[in-house]
Amino acid sequence: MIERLVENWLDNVNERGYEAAFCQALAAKGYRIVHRSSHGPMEQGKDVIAVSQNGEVCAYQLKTGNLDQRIWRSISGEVNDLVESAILHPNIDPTVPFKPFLVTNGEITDTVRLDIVAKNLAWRNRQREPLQLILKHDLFNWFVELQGRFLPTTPVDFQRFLGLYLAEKRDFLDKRNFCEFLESFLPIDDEIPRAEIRRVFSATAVIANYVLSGFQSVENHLAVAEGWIIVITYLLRIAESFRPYRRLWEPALRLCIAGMEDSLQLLADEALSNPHLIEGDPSVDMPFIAARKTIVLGYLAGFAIYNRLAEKKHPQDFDFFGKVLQGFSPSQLHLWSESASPYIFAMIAFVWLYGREGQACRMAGSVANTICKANSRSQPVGLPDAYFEPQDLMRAMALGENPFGHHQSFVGRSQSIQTFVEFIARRYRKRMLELLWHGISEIDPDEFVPTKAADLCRWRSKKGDSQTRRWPHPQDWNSLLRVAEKRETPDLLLCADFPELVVLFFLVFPHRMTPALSRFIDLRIMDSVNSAGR
Amino acid sequence: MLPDFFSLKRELSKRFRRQLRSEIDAHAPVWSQIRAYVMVEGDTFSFQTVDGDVQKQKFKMMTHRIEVPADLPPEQMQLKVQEKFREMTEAMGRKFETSLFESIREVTDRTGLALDARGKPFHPSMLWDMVEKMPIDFDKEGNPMLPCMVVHPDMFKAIEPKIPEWESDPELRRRRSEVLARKKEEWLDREARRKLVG
Repeated sequence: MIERLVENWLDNVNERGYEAAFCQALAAKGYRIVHRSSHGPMEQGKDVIAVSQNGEVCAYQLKTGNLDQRIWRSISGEVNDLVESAILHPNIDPTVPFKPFLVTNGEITDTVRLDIVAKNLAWRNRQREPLQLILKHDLFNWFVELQGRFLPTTPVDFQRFLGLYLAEKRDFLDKRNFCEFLESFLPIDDEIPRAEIRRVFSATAVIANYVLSGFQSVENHLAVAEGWIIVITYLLRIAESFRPYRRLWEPALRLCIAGMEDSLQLLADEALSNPHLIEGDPSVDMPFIAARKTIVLGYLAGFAIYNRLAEKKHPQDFDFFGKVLQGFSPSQLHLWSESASPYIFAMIAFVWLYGREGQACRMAGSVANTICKANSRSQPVGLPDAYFEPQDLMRAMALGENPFGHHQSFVGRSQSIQTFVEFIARRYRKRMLELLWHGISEIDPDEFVPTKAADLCRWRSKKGDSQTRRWPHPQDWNSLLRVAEKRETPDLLLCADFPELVVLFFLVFPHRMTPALSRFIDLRIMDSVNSAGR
Repeated sequence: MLPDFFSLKRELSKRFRRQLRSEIDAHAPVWSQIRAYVMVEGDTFSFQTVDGDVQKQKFKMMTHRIEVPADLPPEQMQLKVQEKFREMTEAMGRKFETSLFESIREVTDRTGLALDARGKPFHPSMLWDMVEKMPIDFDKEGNPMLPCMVVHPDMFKAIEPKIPEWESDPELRRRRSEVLARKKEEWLDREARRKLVG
C-alpha cells in the first residue's frame, strides 16, 4: 500500500518537491551534498552537486515528468551545461572530471534515449563523462529501500499519515498530528546500530518530505517551514543518544535545515511583497489579519535572529526590520493565547538588536501587563495557555463554540510572563518593572519540566512535572537580576550545538518557551551584539 | 454489526457527558466553585504555598463503575442507563466533595489551621476564631472576601433561627469589626509587599 502511495507522490510532485528527498537519499548512500541550487541562471545546469564516499564528484539536474522529444529539445541547453561546464565551487577542483546525471520523476521516450546515446558518444570524444539517467522507477526504488522499516505499518499510523498527506494544503500544518506521526516510527530512546543511524535520519526526512511537498506545491511556506522545524527538532531529539556520531547524522540534519531556510526565505519574500498581509478571500479576512501579522512578523524576526546567530546576517535583515517595525505595536498584534508569546518575544529581541531597546522593553512590558490583567484572579477564565493554537481559538470564536474544558481556567498563572519580566530586567529597566510589579506578583510563573530534559524536543511528554511557583513578596531586584542573568546552557543538543534554531523552535513549539530556554537564548542574542556589534 | 449511526451518536454522547459534568456540579456545590487547571503533560504537578514550601503531588484517579443488563428492551435500556448515570453523577459529586474536604482537613491539620470545637455547639465566635487564623483578601473596593462556610443541613436547621439574634448581638458585631479590621491591616501589609525592592 505504501509503495502505491510513494508512486502517487512521485507522480504528483515537481522537482522542487522531491529535491530534498533526493538529497536525503544521496546522503543515506554516503554522499556529501556540496551544493543545492537556488534554481537561478548561474547554476550551469547543476541543481545538486555531491561527492561520493570514494571521492567521485557527481552533478545532478532535476526535472519533472516524462521527457519526450519536445521537452528534451527545450532542455538540451541546460543538459549541455550540465555535462560540459566545469563545476564552479570553492570546495571542488574544476579540473576534476565529474559524473553528470539527469533525474526525472517520469520516464523518457525511445527517441530521447537514442539521442542521449548519440550525444554520449560525442561527449566521450570530447573527454566528458557520459550523461546518466535516474528515472522514476530508480527514484521509487531508492525511496522505498531507504524507508525500509520506518514506514507506517499499523492502520492507525497509516491513517494518520494519509490524513497529513491528503490534508487541505492551504491550511495550517496540523503540528500535533505531524509530531505524533513522526513519533509513531522514530526510534526515540531505542538502540540503533551505528550503521543504521544515517539511514534513520535520511528516511525520516524523506517521509516528512512526502507530507510537506503538498504544502510546498501550493506555496504554503509557513506550513513547510514549520514541518521542517518539527523534523529538525525530532532529529535532534534522536541525536541526543548519538552525540559522538555526529558525522553520521549531521548531513541529513543539515539538509533539513536547508529545507527550512528555503521555505522561510520564500515566506519572507512573500511577506515583504504583501503590504497589508491580506491573504485569500478578503471578504472574511478582517478577523484574521492581526493574528496573521503576529505570526508572519514573528517568523521574519525569528528568521533574522536565526541568521545572525548562525553568523550569516541575512542580506534583507534591514528589510525584515522595517516590516516588523511597521506592525510593532500592541494594537496591531494579537495575543490570542500564550502560544502567541514566542512570536512577540522574537520581535522584541529583533527590534532590540536594532538598538530600539526602549521600544522592545515597552512591548515586553505591555505583554506582561496584558497577561496580568487577563489572568488576574478576579477574571473568570483568563488568557489561554500556550497549548491553545490560534486556529483552534479563532474557530471556536467564529463558530460560537467553547474550546475550554469544564470549569477550565488560566487565571493566576502564566507560562510566558517570566520570559518578558527577565527580558526587561536584563536591560536594567527596573523602574518599568517597579510600576508593573503589583500586577506581576499576582501571576505565578508556570512551566512544564520533563523528567528527561531531552523530551523538551517532543510535542508532549508523559513524564514530568507541571511546576507553578510564586514570586517572592517583596521581590528583591538583585535576586531577580541574578536569575535573569544566570548563564546556563540547558542540557539539550539544540542549545549546546544549534542555538541559532532555538527562537524558531519556540515559534513551532510555543509551550516549550520555558524561562530557562528563553534566558539562554536572549543572553546569546545579547552576546552576539557584544561580539559583532549591531 | 448492525447500523449504528456511530459518528452522530459519538457527538451526542459527548454532549451528554458535558451535561453529566454539570449534573455532578449540582451534587458537589463546593467543588463546583473551584477553577480547573488542565495539566496537558506530565505525571506530577507542584506548586508553592504562601509560606514558600513546594508541594509536589501525583494525579488521583476517580472512578465510579455502573452496570446495566445488556438484554433489556430499548425503552427500559434507555431509562436504566439514564438512571445509572444519575446515580453516577451523585456518587461522583460525593467523591469530589469528600476528596476536597479530606484535602482541606489534611492541609489544616498540617498547618495548624484546624479549630477543634471540643463538642461545643456552634457559636459565631468560633467562626471569628477561625477567620483570625486565616489570611483574608479584600476586593478592589476594600470589601472582605470571606470564605465559604459549609455546614451540615441538620446543623444549619439548628442554627438558622439564631442567626438574626447573632447578627444584632453588639458583642459579636464588635468582634467582627475587630477581626476584619485586623485582617484588612494584614491584607494591606501583604499588598504592600507585592513590590520590587532593593
